[in-house]
Amino acid sequence: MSEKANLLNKLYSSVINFDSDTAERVADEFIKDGLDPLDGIEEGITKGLKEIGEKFNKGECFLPELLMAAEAAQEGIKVFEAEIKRRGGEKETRGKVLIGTVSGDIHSIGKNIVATMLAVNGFDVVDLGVNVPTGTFINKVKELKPKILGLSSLITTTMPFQKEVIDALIEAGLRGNVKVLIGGAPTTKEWAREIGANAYGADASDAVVKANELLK
Amino acid sequence: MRIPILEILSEDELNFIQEKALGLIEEIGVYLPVESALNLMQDQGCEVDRQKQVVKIPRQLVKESIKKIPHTVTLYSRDRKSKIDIGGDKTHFGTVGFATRMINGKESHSLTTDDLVQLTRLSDVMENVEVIMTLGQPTDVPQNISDRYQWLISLENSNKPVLCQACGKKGASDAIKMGSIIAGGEEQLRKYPDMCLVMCTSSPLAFEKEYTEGMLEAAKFGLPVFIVSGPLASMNSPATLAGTLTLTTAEELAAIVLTRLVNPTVPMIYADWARTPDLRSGGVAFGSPDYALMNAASAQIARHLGIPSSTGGIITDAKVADAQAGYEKALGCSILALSRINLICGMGVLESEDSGSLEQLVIDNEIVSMVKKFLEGMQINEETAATDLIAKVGILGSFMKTKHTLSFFRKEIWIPQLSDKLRLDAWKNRGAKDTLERAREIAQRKLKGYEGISLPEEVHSKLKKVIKNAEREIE
Repeated sequence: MSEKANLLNKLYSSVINFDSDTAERVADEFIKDGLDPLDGIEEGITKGLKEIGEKFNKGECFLPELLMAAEAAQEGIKVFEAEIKRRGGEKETRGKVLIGTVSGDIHSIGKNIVATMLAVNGFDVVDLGVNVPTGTFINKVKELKPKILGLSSLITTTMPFQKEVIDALIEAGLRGNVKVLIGGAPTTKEWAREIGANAYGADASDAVVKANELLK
Repeated sequence: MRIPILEILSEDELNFIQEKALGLIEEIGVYLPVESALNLMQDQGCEVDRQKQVVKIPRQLVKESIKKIPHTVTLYSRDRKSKIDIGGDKTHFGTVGFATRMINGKESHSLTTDDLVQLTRLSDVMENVEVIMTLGQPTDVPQNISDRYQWLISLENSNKPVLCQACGKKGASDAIKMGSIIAGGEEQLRKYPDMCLVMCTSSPLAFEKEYTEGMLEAAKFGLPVFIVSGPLASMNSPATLAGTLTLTTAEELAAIVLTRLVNPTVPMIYADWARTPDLRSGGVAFGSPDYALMNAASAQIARHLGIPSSTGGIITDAKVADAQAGYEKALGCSILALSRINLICGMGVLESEDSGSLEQLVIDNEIVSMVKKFLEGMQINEETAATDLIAKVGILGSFMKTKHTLSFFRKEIWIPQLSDKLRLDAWKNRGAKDTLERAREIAQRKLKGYEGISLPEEVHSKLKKVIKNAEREIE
C-alpha cells in the first residue's frame, strides 16, 4: 500500500471508529506529506461517512454513532479546509445553511442533529444556537446570504416565532433570497404551508432530503 | 437490580392447592390404560383397578418421585454450539403450534409442509425464539404419521432445540431414530439432547393410551419430556380457577410419578396449559387474564417442587395480527415472564394455537424482545449513574456526542426491530406502513437470506428412510 493509500485508509477508519483525535492528526500528516487536501476529504473522510450513512439507513448503526462519526469527520475536514484556504482555493459546498432554534425555545438536540446531518451531507452549516431572537436571524441572513434558513421549535408556544421570522424576512425584503425550512416535534407540513415556509423536515433525514430539494 | 418474581399464591394457598391435588390422585386416582405402566405402579404399592384401568397414587410415592426429578432441563442446539438450561428462575421463549391453518394478512389456507418449512426457518433466524415447538401439522401428508413429518421438518430446518408430539410408541421411537441419526448415534442424543417430546393429559384425570405410550418410550430412552395438562375451566375442569389449578397440579404430579417409574432421572417439563373457554362459542380463550392467573400460579407451584415449568402465554385468539393479537400476547407474555415460568411458548401463531403466521412470528419476536429487556432490569453503579459525565456536560449540555453514550447506548437502550417510532410525516414519507406490512417485509427479507443448517446428504437420506418405513407400515 502506498503512503497515500495508507493515510486515506486511516482517515476513513478514524471516521468509522468515531475517532476525532486520529482524524485531526492524520489530516495534518496528509498535508505535511504534500498531498492534496481535497483528496483527503473525498477519498478518505467522505468514504467513511458514506459507509456510516448507509449503515444508518439500513438500521445497523444509530444516531449517537452517526453524530460521533460526523464529529470525527468535521475535525479532519477543518484541517483540510484551512489548508485549502491557505493555498487560495475554496471547498465546494452544496450551499450555506443558517440554522437555529427560535426565540423563547432553548431546545438544542433536534436542531443539532439536523445541523450535523446537513454538514455531513455537504452543506456549509452555520449554527446560531438556541433562543435566537428574530432580529438576529434577519441580520445574519443579510450578512451571510445563506441559501437556506432552518428554524427549529420544540414547543407549541414558540411555534409562532417561526412565523415571526418569515414575516420579518418579508418586511426586510429578504424573503426572495432565502428558502425557509422548518422542523420540530409539534410542527407539521400544514403548519409550514400556513406560515409560508418553503419546506418541512419531519426528522433529521427528511430535513436533508428537503434541503436538497430546495436547492434544485 | 433484580426484577422481583411475581408470586401470586401465599405459602398457605400453595400448600392448600398441593395437598388437595395429592388427595385427588390418592383417592380418585388417574385413568392409565397402559398395562405395563399399571404393573409398575402396582409394584410401587399403588392400588390398581385393572377393570377400570385406574391407579390410585399414594402421596408418599409422589413425594419420593419429586425428589428424583432434575431441576433443570438442558437442551442443545443441533450443532451443540449453544444450549439452554430450562429451570430455576430464568425465563426462555419459544414457538408453539400444531396449527392446521396458515394465515397471511386476512387470507388463510390449509397448512402444508412448505408452510411448516417456512415457519420453522423463520423461527430459526428470529433472535428471540430459543426453542422451536413445532409450529404446524401439515395437512398434505398422511395424517396418522403427520408427527414424523413434523419432526423431520423441524429438525432439518433449524438449529434450535425442537419440541414436538409423537403418535404412540412407534411415533416416539421414529422420532428418537431421527434424532439419533442427526446426533450421530443414540448415546450422543442422550448426552446432547436437542429435542423434547410433548404429550398431553386428558382432563380430568386421564392419560390417553397412545400419547402415554409415546411419552414412556421417550422417557425410557432418556429424552426430556414435556407434559401438558390443559383443561378448559367449566368444561373439563371446574369453573373456578382454583379448581382448575388443583386439577392440573394433580395431573402433573401423576405424570411425575409415571415418568419416574420408567426412568427415575428423566428430565421433565411441567407444562400447565390451563385455560378458560369462550363461553359464547365454546372455543378456547387463551388471551385472557385467567390464563395468566392460573399459569402464574402453576409456575410458582412448579418452582416450589423444583421442576422446570412451561406454558403458552404469547397466545391470542385473534385471527389477524391486529390490536387484539397485540394486547393479548403482550399481556400474557409480560405477566408470565414476571412469574418466571421457565419457558413461555406461543410465538408464531394466531387463532389460539390453530393458525401459523409468519408476520405474527416477527411481531411476537418484538414482544419478547421488550419483555426480555425489562427482565434484564437496569445496571446501577458509579459508571451508570454517570454524575461525573453530567457534571462535565453541564447545565443544558448534550449527551449525544459523548464516549459514555457511545459505549452504553446499545446495551442500555432498547432498539426495536419492527416497531415504528417515526413522527407522522416521516412515517407517511416512508410509505405509511402498518405493523403487519412491516412484519411481512421483515419475514420476507429474513427468509430470503436464510442459509439453514447443513446436514450431510446421507443424513437426509437416512431421515427420509424413517419416513418411508412409517409410510409403508400404514399402507
